[in-house]
Amino acid sequence: MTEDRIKEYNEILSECRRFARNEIKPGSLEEDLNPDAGWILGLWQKSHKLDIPGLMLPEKFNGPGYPEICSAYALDAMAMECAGVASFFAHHFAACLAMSHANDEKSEIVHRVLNRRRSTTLPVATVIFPNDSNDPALSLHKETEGLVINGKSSLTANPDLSEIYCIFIQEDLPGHHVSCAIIDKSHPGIRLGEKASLSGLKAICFQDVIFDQAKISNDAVVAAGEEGKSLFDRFLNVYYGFVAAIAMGTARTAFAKALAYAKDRYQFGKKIILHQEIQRMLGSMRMKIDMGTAGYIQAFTANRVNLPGVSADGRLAKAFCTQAALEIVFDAIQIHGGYGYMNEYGLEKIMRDVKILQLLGGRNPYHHIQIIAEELKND
Amino acid sequence: MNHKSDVSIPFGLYSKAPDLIESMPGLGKLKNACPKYIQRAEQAQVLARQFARDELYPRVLDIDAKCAKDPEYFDWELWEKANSLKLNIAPIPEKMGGLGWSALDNALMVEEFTSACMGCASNISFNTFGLLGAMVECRTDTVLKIIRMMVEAQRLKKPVFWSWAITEPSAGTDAEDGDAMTTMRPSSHAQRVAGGYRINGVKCFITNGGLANYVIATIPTDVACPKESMATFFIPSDSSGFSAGRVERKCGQKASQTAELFFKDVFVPDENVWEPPGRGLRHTREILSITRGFIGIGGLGIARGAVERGLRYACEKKIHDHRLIDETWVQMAFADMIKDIMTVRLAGINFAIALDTYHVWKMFDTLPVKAGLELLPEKLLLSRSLEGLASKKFLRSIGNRFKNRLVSDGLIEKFVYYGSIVKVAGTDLAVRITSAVPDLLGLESMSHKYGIEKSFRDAKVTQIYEGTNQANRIDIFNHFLNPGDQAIDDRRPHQRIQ
Ligand SMILES: Cc1cc2nc3c(=O)[nH]c(=O)nc-3n(C[C@H](O)[C@H](O)[C@H](O)COP(=O)(O)OP(=O)(O)OC[C@H]3O[C@@H](n4cnc5c(N)ncnc54)[C@H](O)[C@@H]3O)c2cc1C
Repeated sequence: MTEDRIKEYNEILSECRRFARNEIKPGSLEEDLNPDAGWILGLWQKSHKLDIPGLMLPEKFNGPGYPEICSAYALDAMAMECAGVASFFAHHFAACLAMSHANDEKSEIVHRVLNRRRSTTLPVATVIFPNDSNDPALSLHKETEGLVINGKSSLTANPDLSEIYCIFIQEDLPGHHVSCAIIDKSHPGIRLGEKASLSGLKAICFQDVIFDQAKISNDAVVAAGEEGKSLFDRFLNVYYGFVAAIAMGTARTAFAKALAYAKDRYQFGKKIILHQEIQRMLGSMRMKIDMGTAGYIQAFTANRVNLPGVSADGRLAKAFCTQAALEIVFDAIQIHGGYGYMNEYGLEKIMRDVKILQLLGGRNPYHHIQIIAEELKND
Repeated sequence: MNHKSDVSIPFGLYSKAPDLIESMPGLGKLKNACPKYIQRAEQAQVLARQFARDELYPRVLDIDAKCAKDPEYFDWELWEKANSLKLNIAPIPEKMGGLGWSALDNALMVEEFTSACMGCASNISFNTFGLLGAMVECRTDTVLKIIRMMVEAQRLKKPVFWSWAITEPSAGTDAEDGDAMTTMRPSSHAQRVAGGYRINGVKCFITNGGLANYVIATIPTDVACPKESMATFFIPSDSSGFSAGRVERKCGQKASQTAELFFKDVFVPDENVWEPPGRGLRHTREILSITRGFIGIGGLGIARGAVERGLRYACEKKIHDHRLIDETWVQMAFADMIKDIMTVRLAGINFAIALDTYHVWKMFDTLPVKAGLELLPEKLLLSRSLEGLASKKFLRSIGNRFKNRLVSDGLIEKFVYYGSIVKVAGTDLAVRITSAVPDLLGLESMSHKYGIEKSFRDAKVTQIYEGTNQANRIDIFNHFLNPGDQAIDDRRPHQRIQ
């Protein structure tokens, strides 16, 4: 990376940190207790001033053309104040990846979206994709004019607030081909199920999206077949990398709080940071933050040196970082003693948030299984 | 292996069958030697399991949701149901109006209840703190008085809640550990005045804080020398100058209320000084020597509840063409959890049986107590006249001396050690398992309606209260290398007394 690029990224990071501190932090605990969609939409509006929603767009769509890692840094910074808000942006960024794929003459809807960006603001987008909790699985039927989708996308993030849905759907053909379509929320044949009551990421809401003979014209399909599959693979890598970055952002805050508290709190006649066991815990937290951060950056780095046996798969970064973050926040709570369990210290919220992050897009141990199973298929 | 979808989960929330001997066949030998003891335990398990299944399980999620909105919400209907079965006074001898439950019986109840909900369990079964405090103190008249108060209240369906107030804003671990207490910076102080003490200060994180009718508080008389001057006071919550703060908003165990307590010139008469200055730490350690093990069993219950709920979910949840439970890696992971649960369960049961054999419960097996319970009519046992008689100086201290011979300082530290082992094992298990279960099941399993996310929220604090697990480890290690007292087997418990 050039010096200029590093400087530029650092500036974006500082901007996002400031945004997180000034705009997200003041409301995050209250919104966790009493979630209100107005809050997050307000943040969305404010974030436009800093052009955060457009971070992922390529130059051809008037975006800044930054690589994906830049968005991951932005999410990391936002997650330091609220993982829920960061996930709201993460789903949007991931959808932007798919939208950016559309070629110029392709999609009327993408153009509508992007024209709106030029004139006013970019509407929130979210993604729907096959994962191991969708039941019944989304099914796709190809017709000459387009696709027909049936099934349910379980617990999708933000379908209510998003105006644009980006759908990945496996084609019923050998080779695991995938179609990717961009549609309006109000598209016929789509309805939302009940809002789920999950224990974390309360700033956003999760709902089933139910497809009942939803007909989608070829116009809205931005990629299909092998091209779709390769877009989907890229999307997954980026999406999981984003979740990993968010986990690390939350872990940074848990660590900082624990460090500050340990320097302040006395037991046994000395600051608790002077107890070796507390130092061990903090040291281990730091190790997990360093390794997790390196891990997610690695998942975004396309031109890396080829070390044998290294996959840099986003799924693994997500599995590692979310587990690391959970362990870090467990220890941060432990260091706070009884205070850590109380709502106003903000740590128990992080614990609940991270547990949900861990489960986004599929179960971590199942990813491990799948990664090896896929390798076997390719042998 | 494929499992039927109506797979029966062999214990707990989804099965009636008692499984004490089934899951711990080694107890068969003890059953042969002491059939009554084990049979009663099996009956206790059946009753507790039934209550957990029929009364707790169906309503704990609703209670949790209501408490999330309003931390002061309390389900009095549930409390009344428990009260009508005497579950909140279970350890009191039958003859005096309780259930006469042994430590083992109580441990089984704690496991069953906590598998449904730790917060509700603590409202019911940990509310015997008062009795425990009195037994530890063991002045004959005090014990009789506390038992009478609790039994009368039970009959009248009037709640009697207890708080045990040790922690202060600047002293958590410091208030529970002998070495740490020498450096403690107390936030509370008891000043000697004519006829008693005047108390000022604040206690924090106190369970039942806002509900308590009585508070047992450890407070130093000299803030410069807290360990040497720590005393234990019995304080009715209607004492002038006493107040409780707002109920804290916490992550889990919401059904159990936690609050700050404030003391402003609260007068405590001499008769309510349960331990004199210098003996307060011992009182705390003796309580911990009993309660830590029960918290470990509570952690085990939380873990068990998460596994039971998780198994059920896994049997019902379909992913594409198969059920979750059919994935062999899921089966492996559950197997590992079951192994850990069964292992910690053994440790918990062993601890409870040890309490019955060597600790305060042993008193119920001693000749004087047995004879008293046998010979005296029920009315007299619960009468104020017997209490009055027992308050005579000589009789008053007899109970205390008798108990202190039975439960020496060395034995207390030994049980702190045993209890800490169970506590750390059970509560670490709770945190590990409640986090691992959703990893097997996926995002949807963390919906409130499945109860698994509640187990996850409930678990973490068990590693913190009753001494943080770090404090417990300090006790484990110190005692292991420096046991101090003679080996437990040398005590020949019954012979000594007779
Ligand atoms: C829900 C809830 C209910 C409670 N109920 C009650 C109650 O009914 N009555 C009551 O009196 N209290 C109660 N407590 C308080 C509880 O017992 C204390 O929180 C606990 O003892 C820890 O104290 P602390 O929070 O002050 O942590 P601290 O003692 O300040 O500890 C902070 C951190 O330092 C660590 N630490 C301290 N010393 C050492 C050392 N030497 N080496 C390594 N690490 C060390 C601790 O392990 C912890 O991680 C309750 C707490 C909660 C959360």
